[in-house]
Amino acid sequence: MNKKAASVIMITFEILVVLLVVYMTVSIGKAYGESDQVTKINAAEELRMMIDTLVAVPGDAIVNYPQEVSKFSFILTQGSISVFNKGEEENVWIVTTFFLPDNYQAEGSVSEANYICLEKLNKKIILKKCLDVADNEVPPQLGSPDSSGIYTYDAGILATSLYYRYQDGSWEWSPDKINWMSVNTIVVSGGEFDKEKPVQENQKLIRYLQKFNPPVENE
Amino acid sequence: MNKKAQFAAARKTIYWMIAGLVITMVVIGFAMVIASYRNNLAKVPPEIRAELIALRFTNNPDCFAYNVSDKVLLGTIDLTKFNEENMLKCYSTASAGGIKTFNFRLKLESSGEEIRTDKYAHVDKFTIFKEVLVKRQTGLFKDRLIIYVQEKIGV
Repeated sequence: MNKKAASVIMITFEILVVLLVVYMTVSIGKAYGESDQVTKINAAEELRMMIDTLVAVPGDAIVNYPQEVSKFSFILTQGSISVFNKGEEENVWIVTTFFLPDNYQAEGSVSEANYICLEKLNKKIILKKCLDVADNEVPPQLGSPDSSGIYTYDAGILATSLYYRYQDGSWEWSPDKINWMSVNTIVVSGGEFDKEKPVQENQKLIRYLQKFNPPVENE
Repeated sequence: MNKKAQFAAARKTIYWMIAGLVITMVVIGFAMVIASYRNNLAKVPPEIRAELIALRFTNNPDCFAYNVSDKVLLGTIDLTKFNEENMLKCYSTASAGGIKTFNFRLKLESSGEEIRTDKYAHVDKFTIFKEVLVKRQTGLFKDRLIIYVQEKIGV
């Protein structure tokens, strides 16, 4: 083989090597860039911090995780929160740990939910889907209002029915249609049920109406 | 093949052996740099984590917060609860191997009273200060709660 042919082959070979290296580095960069590992780690860390904050809140509370998380699944256990894609091997799950005081419990699992909520009830922290309505909709469990525009919600045989109405741009509730409270409070003022709180289900509804304030369209 | 040609061929072989090794190391190094960058993107400053864990000390009646039946006075320390037995109930690291997570030493500045978590080893990383009210038998008194934070020790 003459020198010129040999040098052409060498140059071609060297160009191929350079292209191979470029391809490998771009592939590595693309693989890391497209992976949702960072999103999962962030979600796990943020949920852990939310749990620590809920532990510090005396009484009951509910908090929404603000990011849309329909791609992921979550499992909350007594000391850890796991975030993973459905079908993923357990060894690649993102797991973060936290510590609860004595007598506290944590549980819950959610999969393919747009939004998740952490709720503290007594000393129990529950991970669940948030109320499944669009932000600007009146919760369907309120049904239709009567002729005065008052909604009635019956939370069961052990609970007093509560009444809700949309007045002057905000919601109000009442156990007796006489004493009306703003949804900024969950304590009754006045009347037979003075200083009492509604059952958990109604408290959830009140908090939902406070947070989203869905408007009522006048017919 | 004459000597000169043999030498050229050998030189090329050695060159490509070294180049192959260097290129492999560069590619691996590049992957490690990207992985490290990605881990830093998701890192939460330990000060924030410690601050959120420490919230329970002054706000949760199951820890040290003063309460009268259902009413909790936030930002207070009930001196009758301020002991290591309650600390163990409030924050226990046994499930995580103890030293592999945050441990705390809490000290009331004025009175000097001090309690610590079960695996605290005086390897303080940073300190958090909280202005609190301390409930003693004689009433409520202003004080400062100093929280010495030990981050994880070892791997």
